[in-house]
Amino acid sequence: MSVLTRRHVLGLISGLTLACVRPDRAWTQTPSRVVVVGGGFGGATCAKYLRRADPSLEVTLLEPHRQFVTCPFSNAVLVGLRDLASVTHTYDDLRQRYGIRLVHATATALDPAGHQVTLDDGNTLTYDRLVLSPGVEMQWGALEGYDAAASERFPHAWQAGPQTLLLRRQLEAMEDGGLVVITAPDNPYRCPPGPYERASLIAHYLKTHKPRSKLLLLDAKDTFTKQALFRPAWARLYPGLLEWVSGSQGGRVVRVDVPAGTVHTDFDEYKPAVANIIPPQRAAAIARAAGLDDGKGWCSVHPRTFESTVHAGIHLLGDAIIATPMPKSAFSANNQAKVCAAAVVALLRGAAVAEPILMNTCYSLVAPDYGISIAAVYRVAGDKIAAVEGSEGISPVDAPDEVRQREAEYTQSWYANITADVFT
Amino acid sequence: MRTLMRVLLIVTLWLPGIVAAETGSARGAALAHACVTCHGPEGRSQGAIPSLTTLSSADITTALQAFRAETRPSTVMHRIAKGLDDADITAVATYFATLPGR
Repeated sequence: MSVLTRRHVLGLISGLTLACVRPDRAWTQTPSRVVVVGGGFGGATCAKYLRRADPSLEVTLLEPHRQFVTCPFSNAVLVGLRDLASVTHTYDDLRQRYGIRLVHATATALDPAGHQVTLDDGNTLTYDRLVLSPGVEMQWGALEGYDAAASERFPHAWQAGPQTLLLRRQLEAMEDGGLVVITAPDNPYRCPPGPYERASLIAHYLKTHKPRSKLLLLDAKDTFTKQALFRPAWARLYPGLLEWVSGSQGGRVVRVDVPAGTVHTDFDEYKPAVANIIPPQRAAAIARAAGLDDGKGWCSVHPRTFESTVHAGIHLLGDAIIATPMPKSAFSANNQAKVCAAAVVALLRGAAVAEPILMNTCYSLVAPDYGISIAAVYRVAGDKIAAVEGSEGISPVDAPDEVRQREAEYTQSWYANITADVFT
Repeated sequence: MRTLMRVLLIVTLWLPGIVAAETGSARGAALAHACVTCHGPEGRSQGAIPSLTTLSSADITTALQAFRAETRPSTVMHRIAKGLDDADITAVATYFATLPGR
């Protein structure tokens, strides 16, 4: 062993000092690498909160798109209350303010044992922990006649962007007196109140611009979220214009025929001027890779860490997972991402995982000045999530108009604040 | 050599503090992470949802307790506050009241 000279000592000290002022480069070991797949409300939040909690982490956010168009408020875009730019967000702050490495590619395969993700550009990424928040994909063919090509004629608009604009153009082009059909799928699917908010805002558009038109909401279900608020509001705001048909009353759509322009239930055939088909969905492909969904189409997790119940070292969150009773909402994804980020940091340090705080609040607009909400706070007991008694519920059914007006203002404010939390 | 060991010891002990970017009560921070989804980053809200930045710890505690008891009118906070116990309310109130840059 060589003798330490003064120069050695000084060199070591200056090296250590550098290590201290550059906490992104740990001096004793290579930094831990976390790869986050999906740059939506779940993934982007997780990447940001990972770096906030531990700036020594190397965080890579994998997202094919250079901008993110949110599903929240895309219903307002559909009917001309907002433009697409107002629901479009960049990753600039995540890169520049938080030092997150953005890779614009799609994850195509996983190697859970080798801790590697394969990308569609041929590269591979190695991780110490992987977070998957890729959202949903439409289950093409699950509804007879409805595939990607069919969605160019009958848009789903359940992933915001070109589909949103396509449906908007169709609504704008429709003549007064036309029939609009919206179809809602069985549970589970992304954004449980989404079809009902959409029906509400399209009804508002028709009432304002094309009052002789009719909107039919064909539902596979007999009950839906916030039903006790939506239905009385529809009766008051859109009488004779918006009709909801439950599954047991013939609302279940069994087939669409794009060449004929028809939508079929067991009992009836409709030929709408505009058809918005919200089809059955499942976890996006990468969340079903390597058996992560156990063949079920959705993934299950341990709710203290959001680590997969199938593969250790892989965490899942957002719309791709079943986290009952938490709904598939932007708020849930954002909240789960923060719990997951804290757990990942603790696990990488070999520290104890904190007791999670899980929460959800979903606002819906029944009209531009008429907002309603559902909310809950959850605790984890064992490996199950449960709502705290008294916390779970909807806005009061008999509230005065001022309350609806205030919740509509809160809906707008919520959007500004959650997107600031995720993207800035 | 002894000096070097001392330096190493001090630096090693100090290092964990570097990565602990979020100080204060971990429970308060975890709760606050849920609040900011609606109330905005660090409690600075854009629009109609109230900001938390001008509230003292006592203000937040009093408000959450009143929401929980439904003695103060609200829209969504009656429900949210019922999900919090007394320790949660104290932790989150302290967290927001002690954020830097207020």
